[in-house]
Amino acid sequence: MIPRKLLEAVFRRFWVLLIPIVLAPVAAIALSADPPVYESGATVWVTRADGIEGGTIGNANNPYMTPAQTQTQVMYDLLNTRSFRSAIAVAAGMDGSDFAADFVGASVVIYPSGTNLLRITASTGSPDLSQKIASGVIEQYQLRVESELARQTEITVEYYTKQIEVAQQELDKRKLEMNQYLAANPRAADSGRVDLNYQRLVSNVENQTRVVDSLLGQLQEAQRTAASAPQSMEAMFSVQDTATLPTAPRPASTMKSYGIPLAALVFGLLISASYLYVLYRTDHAIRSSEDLQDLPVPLLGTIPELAGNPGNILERFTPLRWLPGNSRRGYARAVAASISGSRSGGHPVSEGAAQ
Amino acid sequence: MMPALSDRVDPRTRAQLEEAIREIHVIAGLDPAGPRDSQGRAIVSPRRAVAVGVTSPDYGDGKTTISIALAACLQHDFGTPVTLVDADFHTHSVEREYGLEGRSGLSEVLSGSTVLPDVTYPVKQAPQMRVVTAGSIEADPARIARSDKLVPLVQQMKESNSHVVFDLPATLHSMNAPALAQRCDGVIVVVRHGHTTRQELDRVLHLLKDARVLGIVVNRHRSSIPSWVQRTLGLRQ
Repeated sequence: MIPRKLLEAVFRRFWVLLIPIVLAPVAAIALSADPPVYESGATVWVTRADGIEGGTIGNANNPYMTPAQTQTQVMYDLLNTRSFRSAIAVAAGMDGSDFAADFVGASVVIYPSGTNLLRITASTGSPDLSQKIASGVIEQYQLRVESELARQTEITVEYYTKQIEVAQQELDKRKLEMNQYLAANPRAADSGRVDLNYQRLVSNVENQTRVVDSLLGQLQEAQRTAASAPQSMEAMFSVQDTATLPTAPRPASTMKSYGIPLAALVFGLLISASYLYVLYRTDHAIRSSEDLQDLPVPLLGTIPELAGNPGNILERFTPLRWLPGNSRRGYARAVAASISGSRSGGHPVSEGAAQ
Repeated sequence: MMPALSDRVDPRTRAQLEEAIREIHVIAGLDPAGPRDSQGRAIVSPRRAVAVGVTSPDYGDGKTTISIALAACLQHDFGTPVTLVDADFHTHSVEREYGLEGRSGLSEVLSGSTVLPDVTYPVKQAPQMRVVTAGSIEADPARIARSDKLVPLVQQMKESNSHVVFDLPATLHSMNAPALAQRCDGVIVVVRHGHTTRQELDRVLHLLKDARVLGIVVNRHRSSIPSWVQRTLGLRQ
C-alpha cells in the first residue's frame, strides 16, 4: 500500500519531479551531440616483403605478426613523425603547420582487417577533406617507401662497387705475385712437379677470383632489385579500394544514441527519487486522517479549501494560486459570514432584546 | 464600483462550507435539543446552552473563518440564538469581518466600564445571531483571559443563547488561549492542511489538557492527488 502522504508529495511537486527526468536526457543528448563526421577509407593488400632485402621501412619479417599488423605498426610509426603528418596535410590541401599535422594525426585510423588487408580511414567534418587525407596517407607512404628503396639500393650498389674494387685490386696483386714467382721459377708450373709455393699462390688467386665473382653477383642482384623495386613494392603494398568521397556522415554509435540518454534518464530518475524521499521524510504537516491517528480526540471534519473568489483571475491559474492568499482568506470569511446573513447592523442590542 | 466581497459569494461554495460545518457540529454533538424521536420530540430533556471555543495552533489556520461559519450555521440550522464572541484580543478578526472596528466589547465589559448588552451587536438578516467584539480598551489580554468576571459573563451569555462560539487566540502564540478554553464547555482545534505539523498539534493538545477538546477540524483541505488516482487506489480522505 502506497502511503497517501507519499502520493501527496508526488502530485504536489509533480512538475518539479518531472523536470530532472525530462531535462537530464535532453541535456545529455544536447551535450553529447557531435557535428557530422565524414569517414573516407581505403583498403590495401600488404604482403611480407620477401625478396626485397632492406627495401622496406620497418621490420617486415617478424614471424609473429601478420603482414597487415606489421604494416599497421609501420604506418603508425610514420604517423608519429611530424614531417609525415605535415606532408599528408599539404597533400590534402592544408597548410603544413603543426596544427594541421596534429589534425591529420587525430583524424587518421589504420587497422588490419585481415591477414593481409589493411584499412586506412580518415574522419573529418568535410567529406572532401576526409578523402584527401586518406588518399594522402597512401600516397605519402608510397613516396616514402620509393625514396627509401632508392636510397638503400644506392647505398648497396655503392658498397658492392667499392668492395669489388678492393677485391679486384687484391686479385690483381695476387695474380702479379703468381706471375713474378712463375717468371722466377719457370718449371714450377710443370705437370708432375709439386711446388708448394706456386700452389699456394694459385690458390690465393682462385680464392680471390671467387670473392670478386661473388661480389659481382651481389652487385648484379642489388641492381636487379633496384630495377624491379616499383613492381615489388606494388606487390607488397597494393591499393585494393581507393578512398572514396563519403556521401553521408558516419552514423552515431548505439551507445551515443541510446546508452547516454538512457543513463541520463536513470540519473534524472535518481535525482527525482532523492528529492521525493527528502520531501516525504521531511514533511511533518497534517495532510490526511492518517496523520491524526492515535490522537485522544476525534476528527470532527474537514473543511475543503474554498474554490476562491470567482472574480479573481489568478485563482484560475494553479501555479499562481499562492499569490492572492489574503484575498482567498477574506473570501473564505465572506463565505462563512454569508451563511447567516450580511454584515452587522452596527448597533448594540438592547438588554431586553438580548435576553 | 466593486461589489462587496460578501455579495460575490458563490452559492455552491457557501453550500460546500455549510455542509462541512454541519458535519462538524453533528459529530461534536452541538444540537441543543439532543437526539429526537420520529415525531421530532426530544428524547432526553433539552440540553443546556453550550459555549464552544475555536482555536488553532497558528495564525492563518482559519479559526476565525470556522468560528464565523460555525456560529452562522448553528443559528441557521437550529433557529436558536447564537452569539459569536471575539476573544482574540490580538487580531480582532471578527470585529473587522463584521465592520465593528473600534466598538466597545468584551474587554470593556470585563473592566466594568459597560455591560454585556451594550456590546452585543446583531447581524443583518440573521435575527438570531449576535456578535460580541473583543473591545478596544488597552487592557492586558492575559488579565482579561484570567479574569474572575469571565465565568459569570459566559454564564450570562449562555442564558440567552443556545450556543456561544468563542473565537480564541492561536494557542501556540498566546497562552491566553488555554485559559479562555477552560471557560468554555468544549474546544474545537482547527489545523491547517499541509501547514500544521503533528508536533504542533500535540503541543496544542498538551496546552489544552485542562480544557475539554471536542475534536480536530482540518481546514483548507486540498488533495494534490487527482481524483481518478484516488478512485483507482481506493484512497480515503
